[in-house]
Amino acid sequence: MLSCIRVRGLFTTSYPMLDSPPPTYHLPTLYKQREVGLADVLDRVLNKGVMIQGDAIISVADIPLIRLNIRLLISSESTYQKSLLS
Amino acid sequence: MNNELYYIYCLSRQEMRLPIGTSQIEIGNIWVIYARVPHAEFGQEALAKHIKDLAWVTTKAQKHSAIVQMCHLQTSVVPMRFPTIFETWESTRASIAENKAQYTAFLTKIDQKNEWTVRLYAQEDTLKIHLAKNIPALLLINEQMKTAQAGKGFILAKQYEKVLTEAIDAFIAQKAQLFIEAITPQTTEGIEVPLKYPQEDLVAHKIIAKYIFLVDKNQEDAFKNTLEQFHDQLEPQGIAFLYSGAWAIYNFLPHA
Repeated sequence: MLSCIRVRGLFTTSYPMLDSPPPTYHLPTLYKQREVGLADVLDRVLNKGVMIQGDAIISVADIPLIRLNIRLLISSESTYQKSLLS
Repeated sequence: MNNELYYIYCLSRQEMRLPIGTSQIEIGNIWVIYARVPHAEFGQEALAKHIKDLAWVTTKAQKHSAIVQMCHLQTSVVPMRFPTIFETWESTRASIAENKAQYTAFLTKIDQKNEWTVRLYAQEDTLKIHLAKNIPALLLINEQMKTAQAGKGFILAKQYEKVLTEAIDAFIAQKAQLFIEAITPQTTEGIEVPLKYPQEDLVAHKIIAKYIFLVDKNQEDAFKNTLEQFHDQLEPQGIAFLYSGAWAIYNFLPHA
């Protein structure tokens, strides 16, 4: 399933629903669009959302570690590109 | 030990068309969107190892986000934090049932709403040019510098930089305040997010503020129009707006 957006005269692109976050608008460069989009995804999925207490066998006690690593991830183009390819 | 675990993506109040690889089941009027995942990958020991692998985390987090987004496009959902995993179906059912009232309240609150992220960026060179032309004190110092001797010129240059820095800060604060006043009527709730990631700076654009808004779907056109107007007005003066959405609701849910 594809959805199409237009980014104010810069380019037109398609977003495969299972591969892309919601679109970002007003973008100086395509690469940075991806980077900001990734930051939005990781911040929401890893740090927000409902955290069930109780029987969940995986707690999110490692969140500080995850946060630290996200910073490194976002600042590292090579790691980011690898993650896209994996 | 079970070979499979239960990975929960999100909850909703109605049955939906499922993303590939997921299943749904109703627990007391709450629909649970989940997948069975291998213990070898998502068990406690395996996860402790994987969670340090940035590529693995990124891939799985993106998948989690995409599935939640697909569900959110159909109906309101309560997204689970990555990774929410249960060892048995009985424990999954018990946890959902225990928190059912809270989830129902969440789903009522967020019905027909989306979440939007808005970032404000400063383009310093453009800001300096704009303010240099429009701040009387800067115009005056600039005039004085044209005829000043070397020593006096040095002092004036320092004074110019100080006034310019203060003017930039004041201009940004004023425009951010005007933006918040204009956008508030089109939003249900808003959060100013601390700037944790300097990496959110763009090429020649420094991030100056980040907001997350809860927006009713029938207000989204007005919301986006306001953003567009501010961007069109302020981008030539050095403040750009970048926004993303419409997201599932992650930031306005009390944690269960």
